[in-house]
Amino acid sequence: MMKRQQGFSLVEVLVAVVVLGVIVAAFSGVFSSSIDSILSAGDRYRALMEAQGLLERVLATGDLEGLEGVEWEQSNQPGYESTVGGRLITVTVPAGPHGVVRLSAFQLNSSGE
Amino acid sequence: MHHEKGAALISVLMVVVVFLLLGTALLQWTAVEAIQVQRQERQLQAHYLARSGLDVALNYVFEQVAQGISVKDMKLSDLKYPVGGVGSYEVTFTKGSEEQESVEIRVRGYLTGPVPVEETIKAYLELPKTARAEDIGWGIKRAPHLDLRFADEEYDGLVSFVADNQVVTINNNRYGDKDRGYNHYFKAPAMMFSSDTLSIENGSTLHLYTDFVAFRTKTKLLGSDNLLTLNVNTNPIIEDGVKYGVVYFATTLSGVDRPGYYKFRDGTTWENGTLRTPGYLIPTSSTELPTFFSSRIVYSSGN
Repeated sequence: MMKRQQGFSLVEVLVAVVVLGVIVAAFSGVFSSSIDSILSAGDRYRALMEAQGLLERVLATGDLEGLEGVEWEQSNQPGYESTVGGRLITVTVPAGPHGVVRLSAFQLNSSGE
Repeated sequence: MHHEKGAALISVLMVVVVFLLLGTALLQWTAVEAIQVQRQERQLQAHYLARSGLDVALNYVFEQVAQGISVKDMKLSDLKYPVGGVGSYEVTFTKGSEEQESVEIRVRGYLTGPVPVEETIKAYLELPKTARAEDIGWGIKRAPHLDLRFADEEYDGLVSFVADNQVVTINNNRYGDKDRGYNHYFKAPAMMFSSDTLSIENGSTLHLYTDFVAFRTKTKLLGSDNLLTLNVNTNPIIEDGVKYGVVYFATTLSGVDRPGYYKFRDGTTWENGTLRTPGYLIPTSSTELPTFFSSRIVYSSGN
């Protein structure tokens, strides 16, 4: 009457563990780099939003002294009768450990030439 | 039971298949996310290149407005220039019909690279309608001068003071009103004197209420008791609570050491040919012009 329930044999379990181990080992690199990549995309996105906010603020107020990550250099663009003076504003925001996000815009000088 | 042998391996393989599917999905998601962020970054940069171009394009148009050039005669050739090694912009202008005095500006920001990106923004400019002073009853055209009388009415566009013989004279002429002395008041958002000479003579006073005025002329303050005042109109620049307009001088004058654009403080006054309000004129550039016309710019994005 009583049927003896048979479990997995030791050999079966060993083979399974080895197979699983090999496959997990093979994919662990992929998984960890995927997770790294997702995190870094998130960092980059956050940095991008921050850079955009900063650049908009600088463009709207023309005020760029003492702002971290904001650099500018005098620059000229060809205008109607002569070149128009302005500045090339570059905003740099660190994006996690994987680099920086950089946005640039040219703006005419609001005073002086 | 012989047929149950190897079941563990099958279970493991099933688990592996599930993980593989999850892994593939994760990989796909990662790739899409990374590309998306990178693309967004480049698109945003292209947008700012377009904005840079628009800044230059607006100035390009307004400098011509400030010279009294109507849309019909405006030089609106396309602009295509690089911006500091970042990328480039390309501006195309489309003139509206003659009655409309409007210009459509379309700017594309370009980013080169393995995957080129471009963003387009558009601005529509409704330029101030231009009228000659004598046509709106502000001056009486008399040979050999354009003699001005005071104006009680305002004009809501750009008023051009121009005389056929190239001399605009503000004089205590017969059109002066005894009750108001020989004071001449003119009020409009923008004005320009585009004859060869503007003379304010013999005890005349000229009071301009305007946010932008261009003296594209030799400006003479002749005789004694002459007075010229510049006062802001409805759309001044306000800095630290002080109201400013912009004035362009094509020539030097007391207080104006070099021709060009100046910010004038409300109430800037020349009396007997001398600037009586030192410090009220501040050298600036044509780049202040868009401020005055900003209410006439309609922005839109896309194609």
